[in-house]
Amino acid sequence: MAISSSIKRWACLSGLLLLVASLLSGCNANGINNAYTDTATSEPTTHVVDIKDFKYSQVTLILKPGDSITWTNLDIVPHTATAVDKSWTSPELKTGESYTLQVTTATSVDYFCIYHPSMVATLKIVAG
Amino acid sequence: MKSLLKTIAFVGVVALTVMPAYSASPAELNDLEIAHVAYTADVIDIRYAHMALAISANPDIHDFAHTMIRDHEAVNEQALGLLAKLGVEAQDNFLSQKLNTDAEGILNEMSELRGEDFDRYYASNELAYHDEVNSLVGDVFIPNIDNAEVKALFEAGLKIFQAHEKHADMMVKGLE
Repeated sequence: MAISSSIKRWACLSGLLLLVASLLSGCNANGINNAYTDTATSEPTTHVVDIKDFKYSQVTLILKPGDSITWTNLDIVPHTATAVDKSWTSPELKTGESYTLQVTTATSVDYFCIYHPSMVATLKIVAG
Repeated sequence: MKSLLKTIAFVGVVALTVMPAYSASPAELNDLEIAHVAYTADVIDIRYAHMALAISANPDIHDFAHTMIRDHEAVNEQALGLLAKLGVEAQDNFLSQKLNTDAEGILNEMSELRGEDFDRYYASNELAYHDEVNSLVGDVFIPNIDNAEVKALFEAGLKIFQAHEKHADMMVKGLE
């Protein structure tokens, strides 16, 4: 799977590192969904995507493995960011709520709002 | 005689001052009447959605109906919050009453349908309903709203309903 929403894969590599990573980067109260990567070649970047007027502010977002995306809903109705292949999804984001996803490996994935299927966008994850 | 004429004139002035002004067309509605129409339209679509959830077995119909309930309730919550902040109440009017009368007829018709007949009727009605309401909001209401905050809410609402119209169009095509 190109984008991981769990720490299961990392756990297979090292139980010790899992413990350290969990302590340092465990899911927090802001809904940040941590995944881990060993493929990043430079400092990871957090990209901001606002959801406003039933649109994702970046229709096509190019990023690299290790980067994160933070979606924030600025509309008055709830939205989601959900992979078309359903490999990951944000929870329901009410007004003002955010969700962060970290990507792992190079791929391209389309996503949409599960409540409003006319809202679509693409993540292009390009290796360093 | 002069005294009688004065009395009649006085009564006429009082009547014109006290009686509410009844609008004859959507373009003549004031902000509070427009707010009432929008609230009514939201509630009607929520009623359609609840009927869809009760009758339809189609998951796409259910998804759409849940979205209608979620979104229209959110918009109405915002509208009520704004009216409370402004210290005013929405005003009933001929158009709200017409929408309700029309909706009763549609709900009666829908309640008689089952299976694909229901699904197609519901989807087509949602498409037509949103198309009609969006034209009303975009072409008539927004240009005539005086209060800036009310106007902003309607502009946000229009984007929501336009997305619903697209979604309804997808639903109609999916049922063909």
